Amino acid sequence: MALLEIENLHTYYGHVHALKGISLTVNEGEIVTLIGANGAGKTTTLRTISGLLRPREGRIVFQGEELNNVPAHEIVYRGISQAPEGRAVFTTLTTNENLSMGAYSLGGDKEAIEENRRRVFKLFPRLEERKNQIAGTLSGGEQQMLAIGRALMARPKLLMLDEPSLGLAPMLVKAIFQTIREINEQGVTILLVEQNARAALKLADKGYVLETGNIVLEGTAEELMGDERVRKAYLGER
Amino acid sequence: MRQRLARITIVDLVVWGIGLAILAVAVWGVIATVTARAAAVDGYAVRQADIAQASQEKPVRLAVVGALKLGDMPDVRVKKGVAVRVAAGARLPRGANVVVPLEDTDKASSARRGSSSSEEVLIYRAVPRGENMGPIYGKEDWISFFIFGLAQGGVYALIALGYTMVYGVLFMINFTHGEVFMSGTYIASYVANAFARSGFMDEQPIIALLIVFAVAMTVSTCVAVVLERVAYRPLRKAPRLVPLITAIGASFFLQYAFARLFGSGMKRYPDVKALSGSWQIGELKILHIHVIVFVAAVLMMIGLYWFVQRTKTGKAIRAVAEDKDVAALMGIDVDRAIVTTFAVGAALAGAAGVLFALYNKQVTHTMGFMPGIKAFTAAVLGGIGNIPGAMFGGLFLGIFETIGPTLFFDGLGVPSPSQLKDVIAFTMLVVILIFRPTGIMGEVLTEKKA
Repeated sequence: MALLEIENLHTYYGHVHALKGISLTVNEGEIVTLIGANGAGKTTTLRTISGLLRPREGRIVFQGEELNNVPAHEIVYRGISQAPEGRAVFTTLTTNENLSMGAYSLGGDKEAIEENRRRVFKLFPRLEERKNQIAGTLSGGEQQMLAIGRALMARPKLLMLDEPSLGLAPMLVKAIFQTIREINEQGVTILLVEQNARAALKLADKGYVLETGNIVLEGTAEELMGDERVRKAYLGER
Repeated sequence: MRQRLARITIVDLVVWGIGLAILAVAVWGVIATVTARAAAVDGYAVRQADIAQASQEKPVRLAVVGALKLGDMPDVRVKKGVAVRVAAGARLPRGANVVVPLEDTDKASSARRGSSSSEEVLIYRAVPRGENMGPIYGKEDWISFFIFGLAQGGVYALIALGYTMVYGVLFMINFTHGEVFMSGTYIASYVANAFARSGFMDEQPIIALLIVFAVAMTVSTCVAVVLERVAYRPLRKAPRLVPLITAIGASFFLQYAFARLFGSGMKRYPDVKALSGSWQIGELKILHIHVIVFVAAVLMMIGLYWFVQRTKTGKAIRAVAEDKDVAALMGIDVDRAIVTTFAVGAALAGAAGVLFALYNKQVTHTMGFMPGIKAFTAAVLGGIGNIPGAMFGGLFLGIFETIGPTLFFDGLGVPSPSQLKDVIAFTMLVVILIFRPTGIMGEVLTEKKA
């Protein structure tokens, strides 16, 4: 069953036509990846789904409900969380405060918040060691863990990850992707935006290739990995 | 090295020159003030060498060349063979190194000589050098300046928090904040006066004052919330200069609206008997009201700090200040967080206004201007956008502008230096903006916005 369905999405930055009619489907329990070069429109797609940008045309349907006119701060209440690009943690808040902000949508449900916090600490034990540290002083990898952990605090049905591998050492990328799989196995559907196509396709069930605001290719991860164009353009093969 | 020198421009030299000149004047002024002496008793300021031989039997005769009252600036010099009549507390003229008390002197009739019409004095005692003179400002004076400065600074700090918090979330200087401060206080003054007339203020001062505070804070908050909705929110995506202009416009609107609605004269603020009175510690007199204002301001600052650091809403405001988009992703209603910031800042300003009125005893429709712009200076001093910075900046400015004028200008012979407190405050603003635009606690700010 389709958890998220996007039809013919058009988004503009001022006069720049950033998304030119994108359609994609994310089914419950899947890991779906959106790969493409810089400026292809990957982040724009996530920002449009999150309500930070308004589509000029098209439909975003989540669990049968249209999200087009839902304000950004209400999207998370519907079950969509995002770990934004560039591990945008709140650098002046502590690790714990960042996680609490992630659970903002849970309101005063202290029990649920603490349980989520325990789950996050289980996934990322490093965060527990650093729980009272100001987030700005964490390492890049720890900040990425925090960004993902913070998104998980809201207990989302759909977790959107924007370039979790950006600027991280290969070892760390591997660890983070391993954790993403764990999160998925716990029943969270994942929409993963990546420039690191190889790692992303290895993890994903399904993929979409985005080029200058259009989806040029879609298929299962195996199909894409086998595709000549993908191999040349994104996997660096000749 | 040569390259580095080459980069120093004429403008830099002028700027540093002005900076050094200000520093030099300040140092000179402080030395002059600290070394200046005043007469401890009524008498004659003389040179000790002239009266060393004086005795009951053989008095010394000196020509009186002038008289100095309390607060006069000496325009004469004590030279050989000359005395200057001084009142107790009067500043001593240059050259004098002792004051002979009146009882050890006698007026000599100058008519005796016929030729001279000038006054003369007979000195009957060889008073030792340095006797009967002391610093113009004693320890007690500086302490009482300091305590008044704390009260004033507490008020500035409360107002400055509003500037700094709004700047933190919107990167905008809310120049209407002074009028927000005024509106609450102004409306609350009617309540305060009514309570004073009915006697309620004297019977139940705590309840009465709490109501006055509540009214002021509520009115200020309402004004700020409406302002945000009408004048700022529609312009949130506009260039940053635009809301600045509407802020100044709204500020004039409020001032003239109050002048038209309530009259442009000064309104008395009632005396609260429970808060009047003073403690006397030796020479030192401490007014209750100054201590109460300071303590109330500190309590409110602690409350605010707790709100921002510990409560969920406070954390949401900090999150919004750092990144509005990411805050929205967390489910934080950014518009609501911004309105809350305005409301909290305004409530503090309203409370600050009541405190301000309690010791200034009057309100006018323009009362917000000066404290507003001073608090802005304080916020810049502490590092705009930084909450502890605003608290520190406010207190520092309050103390600096209370002590500073006397400390820097009194010794330079400036009459009534306390009128120069605004000059001092704004000179400090210019100096900070030139030499350290991020303010004293600005480092935190740069890290935060990076």
